[in-house]
Amino acid sequence: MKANFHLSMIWLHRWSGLIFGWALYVIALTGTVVVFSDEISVWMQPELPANTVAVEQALITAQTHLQRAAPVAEFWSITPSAHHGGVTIAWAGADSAGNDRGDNALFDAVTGAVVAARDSHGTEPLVDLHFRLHSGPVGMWIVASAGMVMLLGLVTGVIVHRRIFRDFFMFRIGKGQRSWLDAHNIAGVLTLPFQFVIAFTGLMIFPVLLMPGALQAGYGGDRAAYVSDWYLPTQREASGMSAPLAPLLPMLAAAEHQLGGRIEQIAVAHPGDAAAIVTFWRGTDDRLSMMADWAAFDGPSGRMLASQTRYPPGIETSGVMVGLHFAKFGGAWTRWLYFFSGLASTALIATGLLLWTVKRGPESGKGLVAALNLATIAGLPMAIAAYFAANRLLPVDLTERGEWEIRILFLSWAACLGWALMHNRWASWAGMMLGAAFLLGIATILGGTGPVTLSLALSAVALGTTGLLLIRGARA
Amino acid sequence: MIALTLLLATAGFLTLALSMQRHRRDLGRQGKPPRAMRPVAFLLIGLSVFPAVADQGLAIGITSWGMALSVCAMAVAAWLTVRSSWR
Repeated sequence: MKANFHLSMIWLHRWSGLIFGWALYVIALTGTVVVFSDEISVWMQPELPANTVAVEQALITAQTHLQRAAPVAEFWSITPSAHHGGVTIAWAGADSAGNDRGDNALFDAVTGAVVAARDSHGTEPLVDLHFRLHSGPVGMWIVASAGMVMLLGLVTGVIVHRRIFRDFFMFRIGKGQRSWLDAHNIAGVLTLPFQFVIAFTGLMIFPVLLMPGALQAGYGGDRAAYVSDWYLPTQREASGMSAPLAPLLPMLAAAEHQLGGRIEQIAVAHPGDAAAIVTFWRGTDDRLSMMADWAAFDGPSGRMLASQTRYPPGIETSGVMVGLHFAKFGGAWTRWLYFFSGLASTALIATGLLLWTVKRGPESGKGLVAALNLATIAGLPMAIAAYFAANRLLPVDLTERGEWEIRILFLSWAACLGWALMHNRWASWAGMMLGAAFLLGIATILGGTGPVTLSLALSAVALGTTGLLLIRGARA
Repeated sequence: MIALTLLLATAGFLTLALSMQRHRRDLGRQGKPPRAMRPVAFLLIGLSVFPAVADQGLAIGITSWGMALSVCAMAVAAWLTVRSSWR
């Protein structure tokens, strides 16, 4: 224990920040990028039909296809996209010839043709890095721990930063350690509400995982029983008697009226059976809560059976927490605000990590911490840039193309780590920044037009400028 | 309407900076700041919530406003930094 409370808080802030700082940086940067996950995923599959179409059109296309391919399947799933002109159609069970199988494909919502888009996982690997560091359940625990440390760091940071209001806008350039501390303070103080919200809501996404005691006490650990207590779309067994499915369009109109918003997904259980049920799920892009309201209809008659638009207060609160973290609710403006706040969050963590080495003088700049700083702070942007460039450079018909994109992401990052361990100096920082700018430049040139390409170009300029400034700084 | 929120919030933070002795010089002003400047700054920042709420509703509007405050404060800090390094 340190001599007084203030020193104890400084110690806690410094060491918790250092130990979890690299993980927090990865979480913050990938989280910032995937604010635009839908747009980036569409950019990574340029073969997708560009123009979005009405849900009605997608539903007509889907029902026509499914009536022909699998009229008596166990279920149909229809997901019209809000970001491109495709509709994802999946089904399982018997096909039209009576063979037991299933299918899952993306169709052009207007022409009904299968869309042959390049194999790409879009932002999936970045999302995976964000919430579990690409390490499965263990990674989720590390991310959850890092989230708790982030909250701890914010509280201790407020305590140790005594001149929080007097230095509100203060950033002194060219003063060595003082400048790094100013940058750390300003990134933290000006975005403090955002940091609290994003760290807290991040933890609230997995309440059952992080606080299993409540599930154990209330439901004996039975997760399905817990969920069905407050969210149970109507289900029933197939009757075995055939009956034609009523047209889906009138049901869609009734569902939209009942749920008050755009329908995001449609599922049909036992199509062609007298006990068929059609369920519509409402999208959540226009409100804070991420709870997906539903309405269920009797398949043969088209009569509404049940719907759910209200939840217990605790569940509704949880849905709002998740919505605040995912930032889908406020349109482009809000997501840009999240993006810039996310960049500030990333800068907060990066400057905190750099402060640790700057404070210990030139000798510490050659150690493991400095190498990990280089590999994480400059290496991850380069790896992400390599991922985007690979999306445009790999042959479209390459086997396991999507997997290769992910391999390039991690191989690039591993190469950055190897380089950082061997050649940890200012030139390496500049090299990685310029490398990331170069790779983003390739993605920009080959990326066609549109807002994502423009954003990549601006990122390339920003990283390139940083690299050049680092070279200038090293020479000075 | 969100643009109006951003404008009012930025104006509010700029006024707040002008009410601080050390940042007045960055913005090319001399002398002691008027006493009313700080309340005016907080008033502008507070007023900026209304366009966001009018545009996006109470819940989403207040959330967007919170994010807008961070971004506008960062923009003002960046501007002050550029100005002070020019001086």
